[in-house]
Amino acid sequence: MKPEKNIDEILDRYITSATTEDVESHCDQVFQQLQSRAQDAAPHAKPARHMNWLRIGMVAAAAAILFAVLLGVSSRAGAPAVLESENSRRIEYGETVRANDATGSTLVLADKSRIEMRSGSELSLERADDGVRIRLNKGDVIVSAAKQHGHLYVQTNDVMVSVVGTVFLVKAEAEGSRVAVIEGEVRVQQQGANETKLRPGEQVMSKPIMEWQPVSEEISWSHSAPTHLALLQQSTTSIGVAPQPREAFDVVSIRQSAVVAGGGGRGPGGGVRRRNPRPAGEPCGSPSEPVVDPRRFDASETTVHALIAWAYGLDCMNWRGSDLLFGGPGWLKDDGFEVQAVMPDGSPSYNADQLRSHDAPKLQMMLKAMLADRFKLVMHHEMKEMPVYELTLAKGGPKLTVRPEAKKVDPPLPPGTPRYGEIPTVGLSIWKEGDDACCPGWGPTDLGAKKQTMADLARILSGQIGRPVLDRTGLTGEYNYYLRFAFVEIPGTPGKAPLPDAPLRPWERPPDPRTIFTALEEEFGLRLESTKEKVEVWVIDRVERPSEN
Amino acid sequence: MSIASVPRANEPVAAEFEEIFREHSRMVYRTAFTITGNHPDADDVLQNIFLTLLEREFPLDFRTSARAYLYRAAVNMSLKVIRSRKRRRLADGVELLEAPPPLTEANPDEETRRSLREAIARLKPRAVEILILRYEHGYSDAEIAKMLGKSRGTVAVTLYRARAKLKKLLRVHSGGNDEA
Repeated sequence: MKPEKNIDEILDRYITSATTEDVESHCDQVFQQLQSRAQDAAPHAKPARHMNWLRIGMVAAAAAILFAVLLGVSSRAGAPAVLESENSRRIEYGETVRANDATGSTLVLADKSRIEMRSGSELSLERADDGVRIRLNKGDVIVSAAKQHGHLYVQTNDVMVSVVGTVFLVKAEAEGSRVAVIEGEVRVQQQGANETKLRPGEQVMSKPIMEWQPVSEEISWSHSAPTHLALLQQSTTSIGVAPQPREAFDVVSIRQSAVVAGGGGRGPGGGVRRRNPRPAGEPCGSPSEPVVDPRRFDASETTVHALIAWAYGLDCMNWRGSDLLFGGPGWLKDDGFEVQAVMPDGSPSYNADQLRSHDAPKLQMMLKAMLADRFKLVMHHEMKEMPVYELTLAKGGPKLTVRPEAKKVDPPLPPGTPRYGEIPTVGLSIWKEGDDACCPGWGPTDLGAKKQTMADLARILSGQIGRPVLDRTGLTGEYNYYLRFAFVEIPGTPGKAPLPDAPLRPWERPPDPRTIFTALEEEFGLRLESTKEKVEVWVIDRVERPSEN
Repeated sequence: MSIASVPRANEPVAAEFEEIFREHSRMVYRTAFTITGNHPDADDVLQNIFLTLLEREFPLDFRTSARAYLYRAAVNMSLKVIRSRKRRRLADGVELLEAPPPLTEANPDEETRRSLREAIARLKPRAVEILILRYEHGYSDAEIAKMLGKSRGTVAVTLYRARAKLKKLLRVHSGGNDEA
C-alpha cells in the first residue's frame, strides 16, 4: 500500500463493500430476526451479540407495534420485482416505477424476466390470473421475458401484449402504442380488433397515424442495443422475415460538390455560381439550405454530418456541427455534396424549417434510408458523460415582463441614425396571441427570438457557449426574448472580439459589458450551471463515400 | 429536536414503517458494512436503527428527510460499534471472544481494507458521512450537498480534509506506527 501515491485510488479500490446478494440476504435475515423477536415479546428478549438492541425498557406497546408492523411486512415479503438500478430495491404490486435517471432503469421480476425502461418511462406491476401484468403508462420498455410457467403481459392504454420467453419492445406514445419483436413471438390484442401474432422484426402500431420505424432504430436507446440487434438479425435471418416497407425517396442524386467550401465561388468548372456558399470548416452549411418543397429535397454543398443531423433530429450548431454526434472520418464534416431527391407521390408537405426543427418525420425517415443505402451509414445510440450546462431558474425565478418594451430601453441610438427595421429591447416576456413568431437569431454579442420555448433557448445558448445546454427551468409555454452581452468567442469560429475603441457602424450600439452568464441571470432570471451528465449521443460505426448515381 | 406525532400500532403506521424499511434498509446496511467491515455488526446496526425508530417517536427531521436521517444514524451507530469494540478489547479480554475473527495477514488486500476502515473510524462522523456517500454510494458533491443539507463548498472542503487525514493515517500505518 502506498498511501502517499493516490488516496483516491485506495478509497475506490479498498473501501469495504457488501455485495448486492449479501445486502439482500442480510436485510431479509434482519426482517426474520425482528419478526421472531416480536413474536417472543419483549420480556423474553435476548440481548444481541454486541449491542443491547432490544432495549431493556422496550414495553409491550412497542412489541405490539413491531408485531403488527412485521406481520404487515412479512405478508408482502414476496415482492414481484426488484429495481436493479436502485440497489435492488423491492417493487410491489401497484407501485409506480419511474425511470427518472438519464440512463433509464432495469426491473427484474421474480422469474428473472428483465424489463429495461427508457429514461422518462413509467409503469406499475399488477397481478394477472396466470402471471404478472406490466402496465406501461408512458415511455419505452424492452422486455426480455423468461421462459416461465405463467404468462407475462404488457398493457398500455390501447394494446395488450402476452408473451412467453421472448424479447420485445413496447412503446406507449401520446398518439398510440407500438409493439416490436426482437426474438420469439408475441400476441397483441388491440381494442376491438383480432389478436395479432408478431415475429422477430415485425411491429404493429395501434393507430394508423403512427409511422413505421425500423425495429433496430426503436431499440437503439437500450444499453443492450448491440445484443438485441444481433439477436434480431439472427432471428429474422433464421425465419426469413421480409423487411417491412419503409419510407424512401423515389429518386436520389448525390454528387460531390465541384467547389471547395470557403472558396471564392468559382470551382474547377469555372464560373460556377454557388447557391448558398458554405463557409470553410462549417459542417452545417448555410442556414438557407436545404430547399424543401412538397416533393423535392435539394441540398447544395451539404456535408454528410448535416444530412445525419437533419435525418436524426440533432441540432447542427452553426460553426461546429452537432455536439451529440461522434465518430466517423473527417470528410463527413468537410466534404460537400449536391443532394437532390424526389419524394413519392402523396408524401406530406414539409418545409426546410420543419426539417431543421426535427418536425418532418417522413422526410427524416427518407433521409435515414438514403444515408443507409448510399453512404452505408450504421450508427448506434449510447449514453456518454460529458460536460454540459443546465439552464435553471435563478433565485427569485424568471424575470418576466409583460412585454420587453415595458421594462427596459436599450442605450438609444445616436441622433439621426437611420433605423434598420425593428430594434429589439432586452427582456423576456411570455408570447401571446397576436405577437409575432419570428426568426431566432444570435451572434457573438446578442441573441433573440419570438415564440420560443425554453428548450429552444437552451439550443441557442448551446450554440453560443459550445456545450450542450439542458433545459431544467421547468418553464413551459413560449416566450419572446432578446439579450445582449459581452463578446462571446463562439467555439469553432474565427471571430475575435472587436477592439474597444472600434467605431460603431450606424446600426450598432455600444456592447454590453456583462458576460452572457451574468446578463442571462440579471435580465431573464435564468442561470447556466456547469456540470457533467450522461447524455444520449449517436456514434457512427460505419460510413462510406456515396455510391454512384 | 422537534417531536412529531407518536406512531401507533395501526395500519398507517405499519404501512409507513414497511415503506421506510423497504426503501432505506439496503442503504443503511451498506453503510454499516463499509464502516464495521463485518456482517454481524452491520446486522446489529440495521436492527438497532429500525427498532429505535419503532420504539421512539419519529423525529421531525426524520419525517422531513428520512434518507438523510437514517444515513446519519447508520454512520454514527457503526462508528459507535467499532469504537466500543475497541474499548471492550482493551477493558475486557472476554469480549475478544465475541469480536470478529482477525483477518488473515496473508491477504494484503484484506489488510489494506482493514487499515482503511480503521483510519476512516478515526475521522469525524461528518467527514465519514460524506466520504462514504462519495466512495461507497457513488454520489457527486452536489448530490451529497443536497442530501445532507450542506453547500457544495463544504462538501468539497470536508472531502479534501478527510482524504488528507486518511493519507496521513495510512502512511503512519504502513510505517509500522499504527495508532488505530
